Amino acid sequence: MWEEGATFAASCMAMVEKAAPVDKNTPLLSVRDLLVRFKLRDGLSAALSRGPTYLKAVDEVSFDIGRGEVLGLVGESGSGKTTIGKAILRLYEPQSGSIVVNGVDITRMGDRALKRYRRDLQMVFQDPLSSLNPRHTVRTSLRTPLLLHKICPPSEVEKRIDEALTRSGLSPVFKARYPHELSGGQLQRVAIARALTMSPGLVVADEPVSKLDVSVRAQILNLFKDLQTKFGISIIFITHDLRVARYLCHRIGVMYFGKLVEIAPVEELFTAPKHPYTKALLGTVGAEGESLDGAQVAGEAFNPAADTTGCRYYARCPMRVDRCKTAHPPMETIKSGHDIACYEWRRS
Amino acid sequence: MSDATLTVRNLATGFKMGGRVMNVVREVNLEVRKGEVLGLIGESGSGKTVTGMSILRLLPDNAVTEADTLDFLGTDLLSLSAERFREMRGTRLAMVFQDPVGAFNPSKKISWHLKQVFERAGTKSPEHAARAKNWRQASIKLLADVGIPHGANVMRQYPHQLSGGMLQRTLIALVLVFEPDLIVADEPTTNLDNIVERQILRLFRDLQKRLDCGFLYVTHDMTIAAMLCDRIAVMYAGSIVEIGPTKQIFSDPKHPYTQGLLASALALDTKTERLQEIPGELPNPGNLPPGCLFEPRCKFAKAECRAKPPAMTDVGGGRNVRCVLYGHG
Repeated sequence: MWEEGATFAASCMAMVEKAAPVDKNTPLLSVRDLLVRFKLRDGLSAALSRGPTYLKAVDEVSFDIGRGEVLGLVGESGSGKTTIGKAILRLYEPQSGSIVVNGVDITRMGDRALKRYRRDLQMVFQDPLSSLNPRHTVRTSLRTPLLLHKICPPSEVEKRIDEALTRSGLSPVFKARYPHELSGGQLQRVAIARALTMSPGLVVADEPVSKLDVSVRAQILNLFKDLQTKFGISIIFITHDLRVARYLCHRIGVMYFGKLVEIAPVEELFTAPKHPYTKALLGTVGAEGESLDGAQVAGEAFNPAADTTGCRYYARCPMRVDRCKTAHPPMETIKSGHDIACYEWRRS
Repeated sequence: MSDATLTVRNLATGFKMGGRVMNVVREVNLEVRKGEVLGLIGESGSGKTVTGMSILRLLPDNAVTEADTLDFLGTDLLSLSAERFREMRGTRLAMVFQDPVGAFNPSKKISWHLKQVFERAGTKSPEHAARAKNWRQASIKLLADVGIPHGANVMRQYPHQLSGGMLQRTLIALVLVFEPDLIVADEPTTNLDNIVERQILRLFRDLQKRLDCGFLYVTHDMTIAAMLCDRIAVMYAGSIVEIGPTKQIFSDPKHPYTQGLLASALALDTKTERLQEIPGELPNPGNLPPGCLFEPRCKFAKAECRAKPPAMTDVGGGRNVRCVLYGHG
């Protein structure tokens, strides 16, 4: 069954590549200058003041994901990591910027083309209970997308569901169950199975283990690891937990209030972080037995609705200089695969 | 032990559900000593919050709490009338919750909250009464103590104008007005970002040292427990399975569940190649296994584990373990 799974993934890749033949070395997905903003003031209050105000949830972020790569997006709540994931699936409409998959910019795609594209791109959400219809059995939840996207002939649907469940570590007997009859870990396995039935090229996983019990979390993390190595699926793994990111990801992007501040191969980021925020973040999540006496980060966080110029990390940064106040530093490549947005990184 | 601030013996709490009582916490024995931080750790559903709330009598009406002993500095908390308990709670027994926003009245300024608490504290002693008169100055000093340097400005603001970290600091300041003998904190940093979390933990540790009070810290996070707690009680499915000094539990976990929990925890400072799993899932509280609650997931399980629940066994060094591997108590 594992082998057949591999052929699903391969056929999916073949299909993607047929749509737009591309070089194997080009990234699967390229995000360039992505800007997603939300209106804060609207309607009457906007008319009475000087028009609507906006919060830039994702502010000109650029990155690539290679084939078979796991990219981690880490940051605190409100840093925009979930918004990026949803924008890539076009669940949010970006204000500007491009998201290129196999040479096609999907920000300009029409609905029909988008439907086809969404098949190749699946999402696993944080809360598995709310991402499954409570009135549908597991079978119905898994069957509907297979029929909608005409993935396989109707006669093979059951077989396909059984395979997906088995690959996710669940017995096919779970098909007849309803979501409320399952535990959190089992529900997340169903959500993963549902994503797998589509043989996606890319899975966006948004905090998929943060709501699970600690003793079940390891099971699901290992499942992700196995699926990735066996089928070569690319994954965007969104998490606030640096330990989880280190375990699963090949590269990690660090977000701070809508900006990507540093992106680097995983071990390089952990052993030689350059951005002062990354350093602070790594200093806060200590190992066992670590004391509370590390370097302190003073100051309050950036206010994304009020402050619009300057480096987002200015108020907390121990290395700040005057020019950090006037413009946010641009992304700069300091080493192959290691980009950073900081004027003063050489001093660190 | 004579220096115990809080002594809990054989605590059990259940909830009445449609004519029958569903037990969620049973056989909990612990004591919080003066000047010590006891960590109560466990996964969601392990009963750690219910244990804390049982001690503070903050559970809904359908809860039934029983215990052989529930002693707080010589006062029997079980027999205390509701009115007397209310007097004690918030003054000598304080608590800090997970969600600081919910602890404030959103329509009142921060100064109003501080004034309320100072006025109530004023009835405690003449010394406190004097402070209540000068509550503004006292508040500013207290806010400075919890790391808010511009207390006068903060007091003019409404709760929604402050960040989560600032609110949690303010809440801690409110708790400190009374100089309580015991603080119960239930996941007080869960809603905060990493950096602020570290600041608040540091604040807790400093204040706890200064007040020399007992501190019961409820958390699911082993890393926090390792940093903050002197002793740790590990809960699983409503029972304490292991209790002992933090260092020893981390270096030499005895109970198979504690061992699994530590093995499945990821380290930040080293690369983990393959994570160890604890197989299976937490038991359903309505349908618990007859013997040891961890038996269905335990790799050392044998026939006697299924026969009856194991008793706590003293394994020396101030450590107790609920597992047949270490004798029968």
